[in-house]
Amino acid sequence: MEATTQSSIYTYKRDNLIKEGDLVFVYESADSIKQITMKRGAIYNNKFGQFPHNEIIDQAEFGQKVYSKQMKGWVYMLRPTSHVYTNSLAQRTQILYTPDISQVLFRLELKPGLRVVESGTGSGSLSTSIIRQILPQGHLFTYEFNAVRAEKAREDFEGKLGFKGLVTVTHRDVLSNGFLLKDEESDTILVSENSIDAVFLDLPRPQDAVEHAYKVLRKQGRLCNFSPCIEQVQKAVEQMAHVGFYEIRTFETLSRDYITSHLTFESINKKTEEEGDAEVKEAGAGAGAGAGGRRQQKQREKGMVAELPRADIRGHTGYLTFAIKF
Amino acid sequence: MAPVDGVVDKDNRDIVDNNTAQKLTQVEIEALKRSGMKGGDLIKHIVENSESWNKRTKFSQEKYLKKKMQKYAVTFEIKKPTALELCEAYTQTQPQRILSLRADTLGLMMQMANINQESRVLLIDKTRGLLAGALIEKNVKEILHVELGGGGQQIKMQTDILMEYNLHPYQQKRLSHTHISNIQKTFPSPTVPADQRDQFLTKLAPAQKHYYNSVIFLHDEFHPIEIIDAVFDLIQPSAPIVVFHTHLHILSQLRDHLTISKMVIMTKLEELWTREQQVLPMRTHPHMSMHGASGFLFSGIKVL
Repeated sequence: MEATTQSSIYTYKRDNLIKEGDLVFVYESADSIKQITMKRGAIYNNKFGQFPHNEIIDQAEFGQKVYSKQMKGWVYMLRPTSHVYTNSLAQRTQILYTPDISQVLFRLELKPGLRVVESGTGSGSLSTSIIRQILPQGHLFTYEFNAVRAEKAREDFEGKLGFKGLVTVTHRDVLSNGFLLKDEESDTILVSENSIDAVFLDLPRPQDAVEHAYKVLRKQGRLCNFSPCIEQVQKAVEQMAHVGFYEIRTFETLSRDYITSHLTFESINKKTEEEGDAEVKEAGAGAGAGAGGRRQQKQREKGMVAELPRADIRGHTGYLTFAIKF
Repeated sequence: MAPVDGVVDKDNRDIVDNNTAQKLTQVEIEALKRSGMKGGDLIKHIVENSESWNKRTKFSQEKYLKKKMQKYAVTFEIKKPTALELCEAYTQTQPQRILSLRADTLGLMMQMANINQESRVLLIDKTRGLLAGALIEKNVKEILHVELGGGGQQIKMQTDILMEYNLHPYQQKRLSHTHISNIQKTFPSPTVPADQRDQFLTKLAPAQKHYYNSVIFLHDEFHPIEIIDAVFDLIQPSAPIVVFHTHLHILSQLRDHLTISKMVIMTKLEELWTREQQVLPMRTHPHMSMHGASGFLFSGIKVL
């Protein structure tokens, strides 16, 4: 087995047991997922009662259902996998949602070992996803112009997320000062020209960062800019073409969600109960492969499975522009 | 933005499209090509012989030049095959070979499956290696590819697209193969009665139970319900399960089955709407044509 440096939230554990210090997502319901860090002596409280950490640490597995001490209800203990994490994150700034994140990671072709620059850090939602792709040999240099957010991000990365050594948070306004970075204490150069594989921008005036991005990117390095407004996109794209980026492509992506319903229908012809049952059984037979049994019977009695599009969907998040340094 | 010269003062009211604007005949152009005239010079010549050229707006002239360049001055770039490039290429030319998996959906699929260097992936697919290659690119720890077909005889995975990634042998080593029948023997699905399970084999294989922290299914010949049931014991609790299908209803059935059984939570059924934008000064608008079928994605988390 290879030697591992440190355990992060993404480290694989064969026994799947929850340990002290682990970051866990407590799933109460689809709309209620809370983030907690396991600590001996601590107690998690919710409407179902108390959940002492001592009864979970070294005893419960990720994915396990845990009942409260009062046995009034239960929760699931879940791993911090990507979209679970994004959906439950305390939003300190407007975050990028899963579909956009997936396109950024995929189109920037991120993989282990890459050196990536990001600005602004915001709540660190995207940063976490980027680090997940580039660990353990890669590094993320992330720049944030708000001092409080920068410090909070640093705390999260080095603390509960276990990303120490994988990310450098710099408090800086990159529009004026660019991305070149030197470690103040040791005088080592951290980010020099032509040394970065991918740059991600989510800033109010991206066109001012484009030339800085070009400078630090290596040849064939990739740039991604996220802007909600088309005017910003136009200015940024114009700059990209001007400084020497090519294959500049702009997309918008939205996810369309479906609810699964069960439909039953009245009939204009009154039937006897037996005829009704026989019909439902027949209708249900095509609904799924696999053996019959109580479960399938219950399913059929609920009615036929049908999909319902959600009405309250997102209409826009932002435009994603991708470009390659020539 | 100030109005651009050569745009607002011109329009096409006096341009008649009757194929008489260009004075050079096709025969003359071919002769010039054969004589070795360079693409750029040839286009200049064609423009000089065009009656409509000066009537065109600056944008129209740009569009005209772009069209001529595609015909007479083709440039191309040699690109390295990656999951993104291969998926986009196949989507354009032979989508059926990759079961209509579109690039944006492939990206979302890997995100929902939490793919990273720590992933031990259970991969059941028929994309001829497109997916396996995409996972190897992300440097996953290992992939167990499960072959479904063969009617009893164990056939090996088709790898023609995997070959196009030009992977090093050390990368290919991460991919191992098995047939579904092997799994069925050691892990009979939960719906098989206890007395029909192979007691001996079940004791032999604790190493693989609850092992894989990522499951991806993409197949058109077998219903996902049957297959997810069959491999369920191999999945680590709290691991994501992701299933792609061209038809929404199949995934509805899967979602219903898994939700009612209480084996999977946080289920989601979605598709992606992606539109590309043309971004040019005074000419910014979405592309006129669009791809309408991203395929559908089911995702959920296995629980105990």
